[in-house]
Amino acid sequence: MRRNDAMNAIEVKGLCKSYKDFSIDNVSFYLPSGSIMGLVGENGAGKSTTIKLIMNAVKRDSGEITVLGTDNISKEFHLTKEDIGIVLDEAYFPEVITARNVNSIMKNTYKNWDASKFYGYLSTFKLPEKKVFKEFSRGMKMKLAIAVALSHAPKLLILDEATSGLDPIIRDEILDIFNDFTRDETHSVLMSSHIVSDLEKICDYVGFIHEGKMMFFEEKDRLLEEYALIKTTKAEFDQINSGAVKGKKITEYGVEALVERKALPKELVTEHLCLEDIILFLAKGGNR
Amino acid sequence: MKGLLLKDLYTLSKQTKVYLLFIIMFSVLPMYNANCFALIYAAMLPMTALAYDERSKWNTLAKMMPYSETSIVLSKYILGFFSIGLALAVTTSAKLITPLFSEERFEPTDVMVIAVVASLAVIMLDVTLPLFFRFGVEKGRVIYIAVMAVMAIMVVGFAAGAFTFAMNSSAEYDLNIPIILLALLLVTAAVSALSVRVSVAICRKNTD
Repeated sequence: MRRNDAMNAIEVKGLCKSYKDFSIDNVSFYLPSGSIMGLVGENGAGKSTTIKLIMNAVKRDSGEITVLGTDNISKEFHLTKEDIGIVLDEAYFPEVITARNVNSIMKNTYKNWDASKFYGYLSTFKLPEKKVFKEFSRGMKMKLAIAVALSHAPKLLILDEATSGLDPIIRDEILDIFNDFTRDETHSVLMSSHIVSDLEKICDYVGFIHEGKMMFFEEKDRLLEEYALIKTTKAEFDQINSGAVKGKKITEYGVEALVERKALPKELVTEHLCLEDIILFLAKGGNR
Repeated sequence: MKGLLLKDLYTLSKQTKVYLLFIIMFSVLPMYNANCFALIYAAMLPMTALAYDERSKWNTLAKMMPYSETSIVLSKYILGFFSIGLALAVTTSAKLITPLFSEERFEPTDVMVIAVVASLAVIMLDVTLPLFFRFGVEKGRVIYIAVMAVMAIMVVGFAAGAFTFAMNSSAEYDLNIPIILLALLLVTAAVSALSVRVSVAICRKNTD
């Protein structure tokens, strides 16, 4: 893993956490300030656990985690949380409260709470002020959670499956908001999702977590440069250095494979590659 | 902490109206010591708040916000103390006012009975809250019912004892009520302090 000398919003080194039937195993990554990092992986891969560990909502067994320059198990981390906007897979507000109530609660929770900004977001998102939370649609609930996360001048947004279950139009609107947020280079976003297309749209860095292990952590553009997708015959495929093949799918018509681009003969034609292809091939290993 | 208390008050707003009605109803019932049920009922309010938290998974979010485990725990105790305090005020006022409109006489031992039941209500809160934090609302509720049953027996036993005592007090005993009230306050405060510590430790352990 390469290190960036600029300040990192999040640094995770050798993170381990064991449960009876699942463990986070030696996970390391960093999120440079001003960047968006996508944490991708299938359901149950360990994304949410990693986020809980970052927020010290779950205690780690070993490893180091620094968030906005503060060790997350230090007493000062309590103050650092003021600068972190959090959106979970559901909004988790009590069902009988209204957006107005949320404003009063958060005004007494975050020192930097900006009520006018919050009401501004309510207006932008067309969220009713007096309707009780249980009558909100899922999209409205997530928008309310995002409004809360953005209304206390956060420097870091941590989003756990914030876009899952939303329709493509709302997802797109929300991704735009996150993109705008990082126009300020002191702002950063860590976003977990299993919707790879969302991450591909906005992320600068991608970490792929699989069965509790970080399979790769890389700049998105570099990943797309580094790998190539080929569709070829079995005979042509056999000529490629097997060490460069990261995943393959053999059918009666030929071979589809993810290969390190530098190992390919120049004359070999490559297919359009997207992040989802890389992840699927790497997750399934040698055979799809 | 203020944010957490506000959240509970908004969440319980409907319950609070019913709760106030119950307190007033129990407080003014002419039955002997029926007003004590208002105090016991008041001790249940934090459990209802915890049930709402569990249902909405609020605690998952709260752990990621700038709330310490201590403030998450303390907010529930403060809610309980506040509701018991309110019930105590209404109940005591009713006891003082009733003689003005009826032939019922105000007895100093009535204050004793109310004070003891208020202490029992606080202790009930102190016993049940750590159980709710440890086992969650569903299992905690079963344990809560068992605690309630024991408490009810104690209350009935105490009420009967107090009645007998009151009947004989003028002839046999000279009760130093302020000293007894102070002792009750100190014992209750000590139990509460211990309970808060246990609940905070449980909440910290829950993050393991």
